[in-house]
Amino acid sequence: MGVTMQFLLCRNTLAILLLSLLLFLPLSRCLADNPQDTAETDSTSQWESPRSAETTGDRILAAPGRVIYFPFKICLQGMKETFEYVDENEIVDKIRNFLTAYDDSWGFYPTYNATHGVGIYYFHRDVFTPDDKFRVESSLGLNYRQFYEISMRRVKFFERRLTTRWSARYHLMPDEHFFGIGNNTSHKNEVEYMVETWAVDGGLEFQITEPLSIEAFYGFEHNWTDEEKDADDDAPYDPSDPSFNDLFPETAGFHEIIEMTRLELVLNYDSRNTRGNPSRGINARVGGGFYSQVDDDIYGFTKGGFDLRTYHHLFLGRTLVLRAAGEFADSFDDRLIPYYYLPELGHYSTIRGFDRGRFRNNDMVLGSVEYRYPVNRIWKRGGADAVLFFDAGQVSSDIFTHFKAKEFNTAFGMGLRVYTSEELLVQANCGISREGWRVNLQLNQ
Amino acid sequence: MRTLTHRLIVALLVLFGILGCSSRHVLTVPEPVPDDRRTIERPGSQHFNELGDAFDQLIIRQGEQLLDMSRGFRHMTNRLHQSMNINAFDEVENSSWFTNRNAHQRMSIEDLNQGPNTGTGPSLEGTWLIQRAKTEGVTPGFTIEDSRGDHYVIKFDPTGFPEIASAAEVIGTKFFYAAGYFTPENYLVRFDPSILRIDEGVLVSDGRGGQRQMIESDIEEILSVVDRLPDGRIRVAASKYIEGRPVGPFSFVGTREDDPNDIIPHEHRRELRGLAIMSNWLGHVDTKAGNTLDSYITDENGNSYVRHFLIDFGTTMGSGGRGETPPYRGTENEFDPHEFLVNIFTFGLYVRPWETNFSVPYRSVGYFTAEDYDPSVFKPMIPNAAFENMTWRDAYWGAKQVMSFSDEQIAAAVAQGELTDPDAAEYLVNVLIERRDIIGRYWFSRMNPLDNFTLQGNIVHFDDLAVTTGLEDAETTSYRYRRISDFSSDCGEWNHSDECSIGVESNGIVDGEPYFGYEIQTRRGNQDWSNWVRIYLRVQPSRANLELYGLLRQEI
Repeated sequence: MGVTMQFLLCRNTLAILLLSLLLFLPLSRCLADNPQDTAETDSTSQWESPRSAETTGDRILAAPGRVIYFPFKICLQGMKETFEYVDENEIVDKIRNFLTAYDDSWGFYPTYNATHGVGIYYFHRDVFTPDDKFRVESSLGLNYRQFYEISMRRVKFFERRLTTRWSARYHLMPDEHFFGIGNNTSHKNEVEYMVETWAVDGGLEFQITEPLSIEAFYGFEHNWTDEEKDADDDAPYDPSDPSFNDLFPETAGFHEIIEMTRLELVLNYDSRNTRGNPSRGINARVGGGFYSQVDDDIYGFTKGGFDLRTYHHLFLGRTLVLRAAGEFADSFDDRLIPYYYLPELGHYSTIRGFDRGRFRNNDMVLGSVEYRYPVNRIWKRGGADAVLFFDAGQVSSDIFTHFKAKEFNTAFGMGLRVYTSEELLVQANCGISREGWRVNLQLNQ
Repeated sequence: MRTLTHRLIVALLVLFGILGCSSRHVLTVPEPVPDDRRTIERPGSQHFNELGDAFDQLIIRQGEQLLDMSRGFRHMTNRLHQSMNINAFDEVENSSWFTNRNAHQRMSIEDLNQGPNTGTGPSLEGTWLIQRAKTEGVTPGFTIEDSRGDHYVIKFDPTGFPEIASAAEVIGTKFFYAAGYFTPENYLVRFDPSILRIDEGVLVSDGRGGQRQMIESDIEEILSVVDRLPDGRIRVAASKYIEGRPVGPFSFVGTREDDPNDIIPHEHRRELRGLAIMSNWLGHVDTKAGNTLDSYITDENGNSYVRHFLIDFGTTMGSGGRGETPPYRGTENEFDPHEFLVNIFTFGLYVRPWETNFSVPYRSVGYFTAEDYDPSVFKPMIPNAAFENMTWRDAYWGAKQVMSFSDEQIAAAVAQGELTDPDAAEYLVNVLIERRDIIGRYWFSRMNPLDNFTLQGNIVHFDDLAVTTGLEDAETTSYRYRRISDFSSDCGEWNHSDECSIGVESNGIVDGEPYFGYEIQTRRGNQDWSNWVRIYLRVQPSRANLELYGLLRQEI
């Protein structure tokens, strides 16, 4: 068999060789540079037609690529024409100037993230005091996902050392996922639910020193959770698709309207060298809050936490970002904690590579290592960095007594950040975990 | 599947073999290019959009080239198309694109200083009438009419970088003109802003996508971001309107349809391919179509045709338009998919030279250095089709232009930039000299730099450019030569010479062979013999004397 195959292979090779020689010997001659052969002279006119460097052989060899490229070229030519039209008619300028003020004192910007959907926000600076910013955002996503917010930020008093901010928002997330409580939950028990939140809050921040400030918040939140709010609400009940109540009947806070007030105190430390692409400094938040149900004593808890990010410039624009974070919730007076207030892991801000809210419990710890390196620079105006990251975290009913190193959920991945010196414009990450890969995109967040 | 792969591999090997082996070096006398300075009807102005051109060069053409198997094979087998406007001696004739100047015959310092200038620049007597203005952006500017009625584009230096762009504009002009390209007349001027007046009906952008009438405060706004001299005057580069009637920029690809003189595809023009080496030397990274201009002119012989100009040298050497040139310029395109992917998949471990040695010793010079300068790498901001088609022969021709500038000429051209700080001027001169020599060493070691062949009696004389430019020592250089024929494999014995001349046979023509040649190689010190140069001779058709017939250079 082997000998026969060898013979066939050898015979085929010889045949191909002969065929190739027959085909390509004339082609090779065609490929030889001989301008006298290729120049096309128009003998009827004193003007010679433009010459071509391409020989017949070139044309033959180039033909397949040209045929393949043709549809792409048509599209790209169309894009080129569009760009030219947009450029020559200053359409970008017109849109930008329609949507923003010349001095950037007000404007509309597009925004996107996975929890809010696609939206637009309007801002207006210097309403009451210099640097303050009034902002209204409206975002929509799939399945009626909605987010509306009106906020006032950075209103400064007393020689700019006291800053206030307030906001009011409405957030409807119709298809959130719940997997149960703890690290050992699985996608088998995954259910979807709807959560609707009305919230108002206000904060007062006091600048102690340049990087250090203390901030106090007071807020009110009206929450309602229910079964998944699908576009097709009239669909008949499907027993193979278990509901939240079927799987997690004891979960605190589900299918209820709960109104909570909260009071929080947070210490901020921010010594980053820039906001857009920090390479040095520390950004830390330590704080805690008190959450209590309005008009009832069923729900009430305290929640504390920290989030520390340190930025280390390695060399020539390469930066290492280390992050450690923890969140700890504890009920008081035998009250309960609504499940959606529990510390959670998963998604772009915690462990990239898992679904949002993949792990929940009373306590959460998180560690992350991120390596950023430049891939494109727009000189002095910004650029793009690639990101390699490794995230690890776990949840626990009591992290201090039940901490288990082997229960860490880990993910790694790669991403891209596009930034200016002042802000992060776009961030895209692809995280890989034991549950597959997840892509996340943020724009103007 | 395996059989199919096997067949494909074999077919490719055969194809490579054929392409690689079939190139026998014989003299091919190129078809003469008609003089492109014949009178034509005035062409219309070409539509041109910079954004569209950038998209074309960065995306469309790159994709096309990627799938062009013919081009790929030619690159792999090093059989790129040679320039199409060369003569038998691998040179370009004077044309509407190029005039052989410094490399042909070294210009005097006076001529070099004069450059393209026919006057003394805009008149400072009377007023300057602003006829167009750009009020927005980081590089505002004016178009003015002086009291003599001449028109100039006024270009300012970027804030905080006094002299950088205006000096680059003027110095660059001197070099490119002296090399042989057509350039505008660029002058250094110091003017009192009080002479500025606004012409009637001048419109400026309103910053909202529309236009409005220009007013006095717009002048103040433009000048508010411009550095002033201690006496209140402003130093600018004044670029005189090009003679004739502008008919749009020229592309570095293809030909101009409405110009019947234009029959050589621009990407295959020697002077445009060789421009890559001049641009590399001078850090002229902004070699896009937008920085060229065609003008319908009438020359001193009364012929009216399109002349092709290079314009805007404000981003040459260390000047980047907004300040110093970013360090990656010259080694990466402004958006470079190749570099982008290399960066991503080397995870930041690949450190480029410009990342470590970035320093700006003089703000009036910017980032321009000879340290770690690699003459084999040059990428303009936007890919340039002519540069991408450059062969070693084109590069050698370009290197010859660069090496034609003496130290004195370089110093004289830099002096035209009128840098206030003599240390900055000296630094710039030294960097230019070092870069010139690096380019010379690089290309003159790859190509045998024997040139300027002449025949006197039975002796062929030539120049060894590496020696005449001072890169190599005549004492340690020797040559060997032998008779060769393109029509048979017979070669003569090697003869050795320490002089730049060889004796040839007066009756070297063999029956039936129209010409014969000599192959010359060079040795420097103990190095190996270099690539060859073949000089061909024939008997003049009308007389019985020998004459030089052509030249062939070995590339690899």
